[in-house]
Amino acid sequence: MKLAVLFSGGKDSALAFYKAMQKEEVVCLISILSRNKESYMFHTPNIELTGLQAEAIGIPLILKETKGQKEAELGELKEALIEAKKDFSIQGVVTGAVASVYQAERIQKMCYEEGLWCFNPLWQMDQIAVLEEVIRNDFNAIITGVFAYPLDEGWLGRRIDESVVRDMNTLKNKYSINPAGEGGEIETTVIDGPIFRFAINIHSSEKHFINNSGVMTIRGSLNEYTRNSG
Amino acid sequence: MSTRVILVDTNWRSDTLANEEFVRPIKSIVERAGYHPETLHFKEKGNFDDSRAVIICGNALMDNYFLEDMKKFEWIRHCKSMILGICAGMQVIGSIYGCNVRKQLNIGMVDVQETVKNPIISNTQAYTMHSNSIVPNEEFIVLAKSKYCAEAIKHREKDIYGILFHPEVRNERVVERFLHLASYGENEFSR
Repeated sequence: MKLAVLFSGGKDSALAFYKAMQKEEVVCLISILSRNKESYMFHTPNIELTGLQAEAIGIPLILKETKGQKEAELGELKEALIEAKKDFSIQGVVTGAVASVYQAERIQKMCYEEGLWCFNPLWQMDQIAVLEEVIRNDFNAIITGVFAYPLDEGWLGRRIDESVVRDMNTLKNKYSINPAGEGGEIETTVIDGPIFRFAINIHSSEKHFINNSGVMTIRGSLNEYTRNSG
Repeated sequence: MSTRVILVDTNWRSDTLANEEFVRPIKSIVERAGYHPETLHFKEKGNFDDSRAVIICGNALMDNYFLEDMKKFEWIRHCKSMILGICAGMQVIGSIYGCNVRKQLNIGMVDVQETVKNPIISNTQAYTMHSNSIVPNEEFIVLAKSKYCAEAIKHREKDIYGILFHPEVRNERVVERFLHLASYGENEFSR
């Protein structure tokens, strides 16, 4: 089955991509660039990096821009699905949805209306298990957004590794934070992993942190070494 | 007492990407409840003897392949273990016992109201994702319903249950109650 991955550039969609490519054929990415920093549907930090990520993975990208007004965001997604059917003959879509009924419901409906299968291989996964699979599969996922107290600026730029899992567990027990971040507490940007042909080198980054919320925007380029030959 | 619980995978083939979405979460609930799940694809011949319970899992919205191969589910009639069908699993159970399967598209949270006092389900908000429902015939009692259709059923004589919604979203308790019922029976059940 030919599939498109709904790709935000973060750990969930990257892990979903990895699971999908082991069972079916992933032929393109779809990313929706939301200008609304508080998009209901589409994740926002570093979404503009998805072009570079697609190049690093070695896969075509369909990129649509939306103003991010609640239900209107779905119009751009519909356009992207139609384009993916036409240009890449996709039969289905893969998402990295873990627990958001709001997102899952809307994407399921849209896929069904377009005659597309919809797969969510991380659905209802344990939050720590998501992080541990990201680590076990050797993804380099950088924390590029924090949106909940007590996650402070010091978390920005950290690679998801065992120390992050330990620290997240501590905060989870004390503050009811969702360690996988699907409650909106953290966002990540993936710069290397088993789905990548080339890693991404970070040239520069900027942190913006205010009122218990912050993002790190990054600029990068492809590393010259080839991760997976052929 | 056996703790073996068989999960029947109703996806169009074994070991699909959809297995992660529709079988794995149920497997996790079963394990957390202290049982030992084994997965069996519906096209494989299975040994249900000595199992504590059987759960027939749901599948992807676009997947109706299982409905074309109902002979593979005839074992339901002779199964000595308690059975719970989830979504596609409820459609299978209904179909095996002669209920009509009709088109019914529901995606999202619905209010489910208990219609008959029963050990596994009470009033709740539940996540639905189906393109078919069944019209229960006289062989079934409707345990709960939404404004759209029957959401939970039980065979009048046999220990066979069906739920149309997906319990892994906010209703894990329904599976836990089913397993408890399978282990301890209704008399021992406390709500």
